Amino acid sequence: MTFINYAAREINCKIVYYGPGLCGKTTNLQWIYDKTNPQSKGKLISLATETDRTLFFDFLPLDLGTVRGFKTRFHLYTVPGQVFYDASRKLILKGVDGMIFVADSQEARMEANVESLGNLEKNLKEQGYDLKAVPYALQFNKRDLPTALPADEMYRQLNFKGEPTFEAVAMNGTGVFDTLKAVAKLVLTELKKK
Amino acid sequence: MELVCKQCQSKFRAAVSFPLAAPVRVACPSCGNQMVLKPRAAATEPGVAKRGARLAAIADEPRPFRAFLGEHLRRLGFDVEYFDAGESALDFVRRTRADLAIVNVYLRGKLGVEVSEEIKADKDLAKTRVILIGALFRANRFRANPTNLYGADEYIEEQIPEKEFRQIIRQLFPEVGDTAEVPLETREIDEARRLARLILSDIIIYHAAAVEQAIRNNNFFEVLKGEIEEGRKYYDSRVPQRVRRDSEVYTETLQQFVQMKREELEKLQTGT
Repeated sequence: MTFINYAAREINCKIVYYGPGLCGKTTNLQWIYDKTNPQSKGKLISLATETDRTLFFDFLPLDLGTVRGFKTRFHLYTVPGQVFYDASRKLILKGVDGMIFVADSQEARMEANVESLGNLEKNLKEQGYDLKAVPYALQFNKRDLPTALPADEMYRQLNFKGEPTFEAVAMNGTGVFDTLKAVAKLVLTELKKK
Repeated sequence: MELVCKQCQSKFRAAVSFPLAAPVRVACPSCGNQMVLKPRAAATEPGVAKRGARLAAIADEPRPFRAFLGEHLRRLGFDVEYFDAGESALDFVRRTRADLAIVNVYLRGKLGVEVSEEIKADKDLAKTRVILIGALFRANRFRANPTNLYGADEYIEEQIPEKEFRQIIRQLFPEVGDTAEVPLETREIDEARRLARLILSDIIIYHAAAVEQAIRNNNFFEVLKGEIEEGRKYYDSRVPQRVRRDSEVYTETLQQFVQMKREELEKLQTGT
């Protein structure tokens, strides 16, 4: 759910990066953080236990325009990807405005992708959301690996509702901002409707 | 009888008539390709097919999507034949009175929409259901819902989720129920195995070095005790008790992995 800061004339939106373990969610976030203007971003915060990592930071993109005179500040989150940290993932989904599912292109991780996507749908439902209605983008990460499955095959297995889909190599930034921009636009479109 | 060459797709007439009593060898006059026509049980009595399973023809380019459709149809109790061209698919449907034809809108030679129209115009094929496959689908590009299905009963696109496809099949063939699928117990054990593999996959990917070392030192279960226990808790929370009582899938999956890695290691060491 968006939070409006009237004093700062900002609308705060929450975007969550979801996906299986080590698929590149943190790499996406780290790349965005590194390439964002220092004046317009907050601190990169890691809420980490020994193995369960959650990253968070917020930033104010300059080129996405305003909604009724309010600037939009995006809060980006990652979730722990390992299957057994389901409780943390559920918590992070609370109040979400947009979702990005990062899929690992390696054939050996396809089963983990499918499981994680099913888990996302289920956890959103538990929070009262429907993935069909939530602004959502799909990213096929690690496209540079020789073991990467064909994008069409991944799309067939992972597409949920004809969502915008991007091929990416998060390590070098390929596709990272394209994915974020697509979901940010969808979030803004939803905001303007309200 | 008019035939279509599987190799060059050219049509030719052969002096054979259906139903066949015995296999017949014919050669294409254009390219010389030889084909053997085999008698089909289903074709011997048109309209009163004595086959056990339902029969489906899928005409689409050879690609993973075609295999996806075939696999799900088989699970629902269909026998499946694949075709690359419209003519051969139509010929098959006519000969066998297939229950279902899934055809891509665009096919080599005869278009899928033409195949659909011809099936629907054939009184002998009144029971054959037709599903059209949209020719091209890409995310982020403009798409429009089809306005004309050319007589087909349903329309699907490549991105169709598994559940939706099965739903369509069940709508077209109401007798295809859960009974046609694998029994509940088997599905539950399969699900438990899948979950165990996922947990193991996470342990391996997050602790790659420790796993490798533990395999070498033959102490996988001691070194990764914490992770294995954490995985076990999650496994127990997801898998029904009756499945856990009847089978030890989680431990078996870990043991199989360790054994497989040990064997790989031994092969490396002995150079075999």
